[in-house]
Order: sequence, then structure tokens, then C-alpha cells
Amino acid sequence: MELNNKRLDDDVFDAERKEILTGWHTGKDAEFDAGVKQQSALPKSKQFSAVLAKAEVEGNTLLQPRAGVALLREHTALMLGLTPHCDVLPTTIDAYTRLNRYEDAQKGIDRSRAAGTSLLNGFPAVNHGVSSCAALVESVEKPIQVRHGTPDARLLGEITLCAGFSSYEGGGISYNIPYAKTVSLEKSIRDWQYCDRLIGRYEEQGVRINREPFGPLTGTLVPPFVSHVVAIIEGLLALEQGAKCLTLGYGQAGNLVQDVAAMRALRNLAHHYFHKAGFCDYALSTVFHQWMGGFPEDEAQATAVICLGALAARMAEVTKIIVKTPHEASGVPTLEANIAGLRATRQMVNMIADQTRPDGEDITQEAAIIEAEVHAVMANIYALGNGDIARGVVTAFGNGQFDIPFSPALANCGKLTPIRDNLGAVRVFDFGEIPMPTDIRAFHHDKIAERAKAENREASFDMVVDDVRAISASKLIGRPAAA
Amino acid sequence: MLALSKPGYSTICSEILTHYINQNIFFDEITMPSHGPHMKSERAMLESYKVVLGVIGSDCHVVGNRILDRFLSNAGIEVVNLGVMVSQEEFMLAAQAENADAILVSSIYGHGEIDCQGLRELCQENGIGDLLLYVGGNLVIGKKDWKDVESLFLEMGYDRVFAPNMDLANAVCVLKDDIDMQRISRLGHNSTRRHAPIAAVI
Repeated sequence: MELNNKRLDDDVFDAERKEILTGWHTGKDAEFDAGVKQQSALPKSKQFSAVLAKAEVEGNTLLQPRAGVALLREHTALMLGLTPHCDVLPTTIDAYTRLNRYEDAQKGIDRSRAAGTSLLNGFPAVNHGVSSCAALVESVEKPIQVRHGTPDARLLGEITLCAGFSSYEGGGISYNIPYAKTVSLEKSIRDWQYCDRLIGRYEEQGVRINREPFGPLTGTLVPPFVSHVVAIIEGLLALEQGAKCLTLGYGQAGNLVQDVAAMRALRNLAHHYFHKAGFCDYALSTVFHQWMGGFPEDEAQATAVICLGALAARMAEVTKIIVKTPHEASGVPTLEANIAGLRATRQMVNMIADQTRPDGEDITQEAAIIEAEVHAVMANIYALGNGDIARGVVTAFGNGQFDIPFSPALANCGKLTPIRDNLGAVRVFDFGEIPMPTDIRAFHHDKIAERAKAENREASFDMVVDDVRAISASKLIGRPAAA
Repeated sequence: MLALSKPGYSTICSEILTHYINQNIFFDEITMPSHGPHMKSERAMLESYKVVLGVIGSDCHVVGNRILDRFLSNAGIEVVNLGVMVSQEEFMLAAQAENADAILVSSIYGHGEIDCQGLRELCQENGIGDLLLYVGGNLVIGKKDWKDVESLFLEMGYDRVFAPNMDLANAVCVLKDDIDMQRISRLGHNSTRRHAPIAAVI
């Protein structure tokens, strides 16, 4: 099988589909026509694409939590509890389902029933099957999205879309490199082409499913150009398969100027590359993830981190914010903690909404740098694939010419090392094998040197470790303690 | 905790390490600090510390794993790092093959209660039943009372249970201390395979 960025043939897709639906006994209920009927019957207020389009037009910022528990009744109650406080709903899928371990997920369901509390970190939608998922969709009054981390999400997609979920998060890169150890990139990209093609087929039946590549990647000091490249490539791959409603994302880095610039650059870059590839008929929106790294344990301090994210997101005029909770340091949050995060975010968004859009020279300059970095990497990826972006990105990961920091995946080189500069913006200490123009390298080098001088120490991996731990220890930059 | 039965040791050790961290002198530049003849005689018996490190189950949170690896290595502990998504079997086999002093299990994603159960029994069945077992991270779903979480994992046979935001320098001291104590306790009765959870001996 030679991977390329071409729309999957109908007969190839259909043959594959038959096999996929046998992956777990619930697959047999995922009938495409029934799915189209279910999706078409949803009112506009429960269609993700419609709610996003309305927010885009009106300039509103939608809030979405993350949440999922093992059992249907408890999960439905969780969704109903969240509904008054958010604009769009999630359903976070458990980690066993993400690895297609449906038998382990079943054990988790059984043990959760016995224990009277969820022992899974999400909702095992495949095990629950189409009718239970449809019952969930029926029970709630807002659009609901599948949020997961599944390298092979074909069966999960078949079941949840058939049941009326109207948005699907993920992608062949963004749900492999941060989420898996041994899955090959060729396979995960190819499996996501299937998911995108499935969504393309719904689109052809008049059902618009929203597709959201996972923006923050490893959530740990990811330089904006790195996640932007992934978002654009996954956007292009989805468009090729016929998806038309895309939400591109980015995870908060922490420096306000860099975060606002990154969101503005993301929109410009996406339109640039989509148009260049010949796509004009699509809907684009953006999503900003509040800080994805380590959180302070103290709930008041955690709320401050949440509010900084809300501020940056609203200033950057994003379509949607993925909201964290004050329980983040302790793992999977309760309903109450989730509501607290949403309320803090709402307050901040409301207070920022009417203010003048900040447009300083520093933001413009930062956006220009991000755009130049993305262009350098994209040009190389196109060249490596002789114009085919799927082949190009696989080759680039293979030889380290594209690289994501702090990834567990063996398919990723892991040489790129980020570090904060003296103002807390994420810079690159070591580009590894990534080809980057000399002036950009010099810019990063100088910014890091400025911090090293201020701290009177050499930049090193220990400085990176300090940065990774900084926010949970109440600061943005991992400065050495005063002697 | 063990620190209570040997007052001061871990605390002193921790203060010294914290001092070095605050001075921004990293561990690879430190020869092991000597503090008193009692300490020295204990240290003198020890050649090295070796631990197996990994994130258990289907968990792919790698960042803390990398930091622990770095921190433990800098503190002079040999780390056999199995990375993320490590099965109980892999932990046990690595500890056996490497003749490690301890297994350090991390779990961040919430499935700890399911994934960690049975590792002690697996070690016992394979002749390394007295190995030190540590576990740490976001071990259960939701924010629960730490005392309850700790007892749950102690009952599973883990010697020590760590919360996510524990002090790394202190943990390193506790670890070395536990390994030292275990070596001392083995002197003279090599064949005895101890096992009572350390933290339960309060």
C-alpha cells in the first residue's frame, strides 16, 4: 500500500468498511443510511457545524469542556450537568478504546458498575454501541463532539457519527505522535484518511460533520510553527477526502503576544495553503486550548492559569476555547470542577469581548516569524513528497526534518528542543534536523541567549526541565531560585 | 513512614539536595554529600542504585517520565527507562534482567487502579517478591482524599505512593534510604524474602 494524498476509491473504502465494522460486535449496527437519517434529523442547535458557523458570523467565542465517564447513565448526567455552562459538549473517550482494546474497555465498564464509580478515564463509545450513543445525543440539547486520541479511529467514527455526534476530533499525525508509542505514521495517516472519507461521504449526503485536528500535540512547550504545520497538513488531508468544515487548533504557550500572534497566523496560513491546493469551498474556524502542561495543585492558582488562557483566546478572537479545570493537577475532574473552569473562563471572555483588539508591533512581528517558520517547513515537506503532502510528512518525520517535542512515539525523532526566552515565549534551543533559514535560527538563538544572560547560566536541558515544571510551581519561566 | 523510624535522615538529605538545587549546582557535579560518620558507613557499603522506570498500562504521558529519568540520573541512580505504555510483565522482566533495586511505576491518565493491581503478585511469582515497588502520579479518577488513595495502593503491595506534585529531591532521598535499608536487612539472611509495605510500618 503506497500512501498518498488522494481521495480513497469507493470500492477500496467499501471493502475496508466491511472489515472495520467487524472489529467489535457493536459495529454491525453502524449503518450509513441510518446515520445520515439520524444526522439530518438533528435541529440546527445540535449541529456542531451550524453552531460554529453562527459563532464565526457573530464573533462569539464558544466554550467547551472535556468530560467522559464509563457508564451511559452517569455520562448522560455529566453532559446534562455541563450543558448550562458551556456552548458545545464533548465526549472524551477512554484510553483503552483509543488503543482499540475493547475487551479491556469492557472490563473497565464491568468494574465501574461493580465499584459504583467510573474506573475509566472516558466514555467507551464503541462498547456502548450505536443505540446507547444515540440515546445520549437525544438526551442533550447541544452539539456533541467525540474527543479522544485514537490512532485508528475508524470503528469509533463509524459508530459515533451514525449515532449523531456531529464533530470528530483528531488526525493521522496529531492522534499518533502524542498518543502512541509504536504505531507507524503511514498507518495512522491512512486510517485517518478513512475517517475523513467517511465524513466526506456524510457531506455528500448533505450532512456537515465538523473535523478538528488536535492542535496542542504533546502540550509541552510546543513552538507554534510545529503545531501549525500539523494543523495545516491534517486540514489538507481532510479536505482531500471531502470534509468541508474544519476547526484548526493551538495550545496556549503562555506568552500573551506569542499566543495572540499564533492564532492570527494560523488562520492566515490555513487559508493560504488551502487555496494554494485548490480548495475554496470550506468553512474554517479556530480552537484555542487552555494550558495543556502541568498545572498548580492549588485551585486558586489553577484558576489563574485558566483565566490567562481565556484572556489570550478572546484577544485572539478564536471561535472556541477548550476549557481546563482547577482539578487539572489531580487528573480527571469532577462535574463541579469542570463548571468552575467554565465559569471562570466565561467571566474573563465577557470582560475582554468588548475591548479593542490589541494590534501592537510585537504581535505583528511574532506572527511574521511564525509564518516564515511554517513556510520553511511546508516547502521542505512538499519537496520531500514530490508535491504529495502525505508522503512528504512521513519522510520528514522519518529523517527528523519534522519533529515534535516530548513525544512518546518511536516514529518521531525527538531532537527538537524548545525552551522559553526571557519573556516566556517558546523558542527553539535545538532544531534537530529541521531545515530552517539562518535568520530564523539566529533569532531563536539570540532570544535564548538573552535569557541565559539574565539568569547567569548556560541554556541547557536542565533549563528546559525547569520550564516544564514552572507553571505548576506558580511561574511561567523556570528561573533558578534566588541564591 | 520510614522517615519517622529514622528521624532526620531524609529531611537532612532533602535539605542538602534542595540547597544544591537552589545554588543551581546540578547533581552530576556533586559527589555524594557526606554528612556524619553514621551516614558514611552506610554509604560505604553501597556501590550503586538501579531502578526500572516506566509509565504503566495504556498511558502515554511521557513528559514526567523524561523529567524523572533526568532527575534520578543526575542524582546518581542508574535508570532503566522503559518509557510509556509499559505492561506489568515488562516491568517485572526488566527488573529481573537488570537486577534492579526498585520498580518505579507512573500512572497519570486515571486508570492506575486497574493497571497497577497485581504487579506485586507477579513479582512474587517470579522470585523477586521483595523488590521495592513505588507508584506515583494521578492514580485514580477524580480528586480523592490522598490518604484513601495511598492506602489503596499500599494494600496492592506498593511500598510507597507518591502524589503528582511531590518533592523530587525528597523522593530521591527516600528511595536511596529504602534501598539502603533493604540491603542492610538482607545481610545475614539472604534467603529471607521480606515483604511488608514500608509505609505501613508507621
